[in-house]
Amino acid sequence: MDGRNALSFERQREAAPVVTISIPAKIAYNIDAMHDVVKRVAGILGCDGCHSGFDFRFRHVLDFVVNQEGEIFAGGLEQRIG
Amino acid sequence: MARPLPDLPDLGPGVIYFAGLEPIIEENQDLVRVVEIEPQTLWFSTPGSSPPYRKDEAAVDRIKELPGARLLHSVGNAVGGSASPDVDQAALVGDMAVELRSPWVSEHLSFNRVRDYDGDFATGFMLPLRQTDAGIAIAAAAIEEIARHIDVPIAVETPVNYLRPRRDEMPDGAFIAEVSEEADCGILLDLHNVWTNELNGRQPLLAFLDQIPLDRVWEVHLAGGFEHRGYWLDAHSGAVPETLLELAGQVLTRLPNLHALIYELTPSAFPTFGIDAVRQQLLRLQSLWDLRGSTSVPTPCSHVNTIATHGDPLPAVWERTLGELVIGKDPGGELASELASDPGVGILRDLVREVRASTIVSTLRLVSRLLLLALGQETFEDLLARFECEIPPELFASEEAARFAGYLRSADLEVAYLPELLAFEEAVLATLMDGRPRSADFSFEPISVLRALSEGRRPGPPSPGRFRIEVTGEDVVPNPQEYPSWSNYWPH
Repeated sequence: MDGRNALSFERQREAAPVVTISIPAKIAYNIDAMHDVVKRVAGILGCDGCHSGFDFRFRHVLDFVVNQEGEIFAGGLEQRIG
Repeated sequence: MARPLPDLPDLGPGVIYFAGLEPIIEENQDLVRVVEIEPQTLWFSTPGSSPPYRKDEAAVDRIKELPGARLLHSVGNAVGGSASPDVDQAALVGDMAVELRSPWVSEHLSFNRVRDYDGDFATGFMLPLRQTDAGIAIAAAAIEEIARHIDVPIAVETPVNYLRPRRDEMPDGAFIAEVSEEADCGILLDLHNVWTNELNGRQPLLAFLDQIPLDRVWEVHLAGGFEHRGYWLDAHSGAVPETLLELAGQVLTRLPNLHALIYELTPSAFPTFGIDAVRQQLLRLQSLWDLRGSTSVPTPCSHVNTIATHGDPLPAVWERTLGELVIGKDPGGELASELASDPGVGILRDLVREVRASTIVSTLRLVSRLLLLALGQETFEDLLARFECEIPPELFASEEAARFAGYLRSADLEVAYLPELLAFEEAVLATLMDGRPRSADFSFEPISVLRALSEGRRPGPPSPGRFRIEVTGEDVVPNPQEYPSWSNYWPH
C-alpha cells in the first residue's frame, strides 16, 4: 500500500461510523458449527481428557482446511480410526 | 494392615462421557448403565482465585439429566509423582463425586506435573512413574493425601508405558500390586493399556495379571488404538481389537469384585468412528460383563518385590529428567542420555505435540486456520514446534491458548487480519469462561473474514471500515434463525 492509498484508507476509517454486531460467545466461538453449539462448548476449555490417549483434533483441522489452490490437505485420519 | 475392601455397587457396562454422546446414552440405556465422567474436562481454570478451578455448572447439570449411574475418572491430577498432589483439584473432584453420586473415583497412577528448580511444570501427558521401592512409598503417600479430600474410595489406573523395560525397576504388575496394597486402594485395570505395554515390549498381560491383587480390581477399561512408528498407541481411537476382546473374556471371569466395565473413545475420534460403531462396542461390552467373576481363581501372591530397587535415579530426578525430555528440553546428564536413546521417548514427544497442537487449533480456531492458510502447513507446524519448545504445556486449554496468543504477539508475524482476529478470539474465550460481555474492534469488515475461515478458506482482500463485534455472554439455542441481529448480516 503506497502512502496515498494508506492515507485514503485512514480517512475512510475516520469518517465511517462504527458498525456494531452482537454475537453470543457460544456461537462466535463455534462459527463453523452453529447447530448444537451449547454441547460443543463443553469440554473444550477445560483440562483435556485425552492426555493419556491420542488427540486427533489437529489432524481434523489439517483435513478440513483447504489451501490457496482450493485443495484439501490430506491428514490420513480415516486410516487411523476404526 | 489392609482394611476390608469397600462394599461397592455393581454399576455395569458403560462408556466415557463427552459432549455429543448424549443420544447414544439415552437411546441405549440397556447397554449404558454407567456413564464415566472426566471431571476436569468440565472445569474452567480461574488463576488467582481460590480455588483456582470452577465447574461448568451448565455442563454438570446436563450430566445429571442422563440416565444411569455416574462414575468419576479424574484426568488432570495424576497421582503418584514426587510433586505434591493438587489438593484443590482433589477437593473439587470430591465435591463432584458427592454431587453426581459416584461410588468411587479413579486417578491415573502416573505423573503429569514436575517439580523443577524453577517451579512446577506440566508435562502435557501422563508419564510413567519410577517403579522402585522409593517410587512405591511416594505413590502410596500421594494416594493417601488425595484420599483425605475425597469422601469415596479411590482406585488407581494401570498406566500405559511406552518406555523400554529397565533392569533397575520392578515389573509393572508388581509395582501396581505394591502401591495398591500400601495405599489400600482399588485398581482400575485398563486392559488396553496393559496390552499396549505388552505389544511394545513390556510385561505380558497375563504375567501382569498374575502379579496384581485381582480382588482389588473394581473397574476395567477397554479401548482401541493404532500403530505409529512401530509402536501400538493407547489412542482410544475406535474398536477394541478382537484379540484383546478375547483376552478380556478370560480376564473378567477372574475378577471377583468387578463393578464397572467402561469403553473409552476419545471425542475427536467419534465423528469418524460413528454412532453405530459405538453401539457395536457397547454390545460387546454387555456380553463381557455377563462373564465377570464366573470362575474362582485365588488371588496370586507372586507380586512380592524380589528386585533391589533402592538405587538411583530417585523418583524426583526421574520425573524431572523424563518430563523435560518429553516437552522438548535437554536436561543433560547420564539419565537424560540414556532415556533419550529410548525410542519410546520420541513417541511420548509425538503424543505431547499432538495434544498441544490440537488444544491450540481447538481454542484459537480461526487464528489457527488463518495461520495455516496464510503460512502453509509446514511453516505453521514449525511455528507450533518452536512454541512447544520454548513454552511448557499448560494443563488447561484456556491457558494454553493464552500462552500461544502471547507467543504470536511476540513473534510479530506479518499476516493480514491476525492482530484483530487474535483479540477477537481471546475476547470470545474470556466471555465463554466468565459470561461477561466484551468487544473487539476491526479495521475491516469482519464477518466475511470469519465466515471464510470457518469454511476453511483464506479470506479475500480486506474491505476497510470501522466495525465492532460485541461478544455477549447470553445463552443460545442452536437455531441461528433466532438471531436476526447478526444472522441477517451474515453474507450468504
